[in-house]
Amino acid sequence: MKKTLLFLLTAVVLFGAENILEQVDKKLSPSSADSYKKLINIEPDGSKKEFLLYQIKKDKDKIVSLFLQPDSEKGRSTLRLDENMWLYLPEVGKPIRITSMQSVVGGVFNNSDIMQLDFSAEYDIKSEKDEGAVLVLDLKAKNETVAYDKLLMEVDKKTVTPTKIACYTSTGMLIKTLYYKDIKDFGGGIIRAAVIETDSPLYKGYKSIMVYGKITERKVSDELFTIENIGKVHEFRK
Amino acid sequence: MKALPLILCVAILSHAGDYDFDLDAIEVKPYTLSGYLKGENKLQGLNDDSPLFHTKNKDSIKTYASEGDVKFAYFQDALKLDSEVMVNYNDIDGAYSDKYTIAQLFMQYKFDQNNLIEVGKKAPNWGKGYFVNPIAFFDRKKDPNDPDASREGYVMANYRYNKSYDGNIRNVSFDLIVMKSNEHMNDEFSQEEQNHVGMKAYFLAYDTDIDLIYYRRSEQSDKVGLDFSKNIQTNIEVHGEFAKTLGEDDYAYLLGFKYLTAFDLTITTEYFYQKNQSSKSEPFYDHQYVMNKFSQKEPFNWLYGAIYYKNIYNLGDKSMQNSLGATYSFKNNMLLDISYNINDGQRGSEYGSKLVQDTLWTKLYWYF
Repeated sequence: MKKTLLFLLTAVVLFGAENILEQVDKKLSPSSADSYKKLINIEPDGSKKEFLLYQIKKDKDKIVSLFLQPDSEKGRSTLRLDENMWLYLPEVGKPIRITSMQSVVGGVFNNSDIMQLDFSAEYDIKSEKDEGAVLVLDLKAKNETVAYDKLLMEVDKKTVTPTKIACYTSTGMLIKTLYYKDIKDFGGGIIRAAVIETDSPLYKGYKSIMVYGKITERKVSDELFTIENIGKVHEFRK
Repeated sequence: MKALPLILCVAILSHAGDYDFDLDAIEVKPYTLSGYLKGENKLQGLNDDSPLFHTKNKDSIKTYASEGDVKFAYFQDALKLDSEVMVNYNDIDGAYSDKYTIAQLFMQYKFDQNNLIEVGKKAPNWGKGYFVNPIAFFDRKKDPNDPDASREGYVMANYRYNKSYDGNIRNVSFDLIVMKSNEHMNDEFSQEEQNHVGMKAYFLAYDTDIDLIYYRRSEQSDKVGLDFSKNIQTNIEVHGEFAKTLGEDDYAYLLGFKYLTAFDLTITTEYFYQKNQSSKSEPFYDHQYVMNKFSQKEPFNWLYGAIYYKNIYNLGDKSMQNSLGATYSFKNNMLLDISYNINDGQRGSEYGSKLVQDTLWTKLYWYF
């Protein structure tokens, strides 16, 4: 009883009245920001394929991505507005609706990993457990449109950022595990993991890595996150 | 014991490059340049039931084709120049031909974040259908064998207003297209001296894309159209289009869905109906068709590979076209697409009377 009380008190002191998940979101990215990241798919034989992405995010529900590399993917962009998701292919010339479970790049990352909205927008905290240096959050999807039904998130108490996230289906099957590594100062008060590694029992021997190169707080208009502008993301790059 | 630090060093070094980030690669330039070179080969078998069979020289039935495509855009403040040029060189049954096409060439001027105008040659690409778009009043008809290939536009002026909102209606946009056709301008659209005005209102309402269209023509009856697209579940999308010529018994519609299974099989199914047949030289000229595409991504953990099966079925004469193929995206920006295509149907039916019975079609792309 004493232990539980102590933990609750510690949690209140550490994180105040604000939801811990909202604090994690704030640490990972300012509410409006643009970022550059690369994705690397590593196959069992060690061969690799790299993708370079530019992304702009606004609030909890808007994000748009543009592929800058490789050349075969250049100009592709994806837009997510809440649970609506569209893909723009230069060779098609118009946006088409896609689903969050689809994978635009192949490999272990799917669209919802790459186009990750705020965790607090998609998940509720079912329970939290204090395990010394980390808090383990049991997260349940707010609705069925979210890609993973359940997340087990380990949060480093010191940096208030995730160190590991296990993603499960509603039947309890592990789909993938994300490992947050290499804490880096991106400037502007943004200190977070620069690297996210993932593996999956569904892709044995395969591994994918996401490396953040630049994250900058930025104010943009809501009109950027519309299908009118999905093919024009380059015009908004800075 | 000495091996352990060595193994650790090797492990760290092997990932060191992966964690590096080349900031030069993200430098913003005032232009974008991209495109591809494509080489293709068709090995074809002829249909002796075809009315054209006796006119055909049977000694040569090989087709080689190559295509170069360059997209270039230049940005300066509120102005953008956008272009796409295609160059084709073909050898069809020993007959050589070449052509170049300015698929798109237009200027865009942004007055502010809500208003812009585009003037020049462009393709608006209206409609939600994958195989056919009854409401694409200002676009060229799609080639059912290669629905993404019809990118050439017409010369027009296009004003657009775009505004986002909070609430159930998240986004509204309005398009006004003004186009002229005569023997010299947009003659492939219509050789008649005619003015064309298109108005399209788009709404993202209740997580549904909705377009409402009015098409005014100076010498012919006006047309109206609508389309929609919605994700009814995370893995099911439904869409539809409807087009009608006002004052005439002439209409067409399309209904379709896209379904993604847990094992990454995408099923695209569409039904197309048109009240009146169009010219037999056009794709989808008959009254009703069902189109299906099954595409399996990364089968058997074959990363960057996919296999697909496509069927276009004419419900009127029960003839069909089948395609079975595979694609593979290499790490050096090359993409290989190999398919076997076969037409099937009674003598005199649409696909039963095609001169080519079956084709082994190989396409190789190199992107830059």
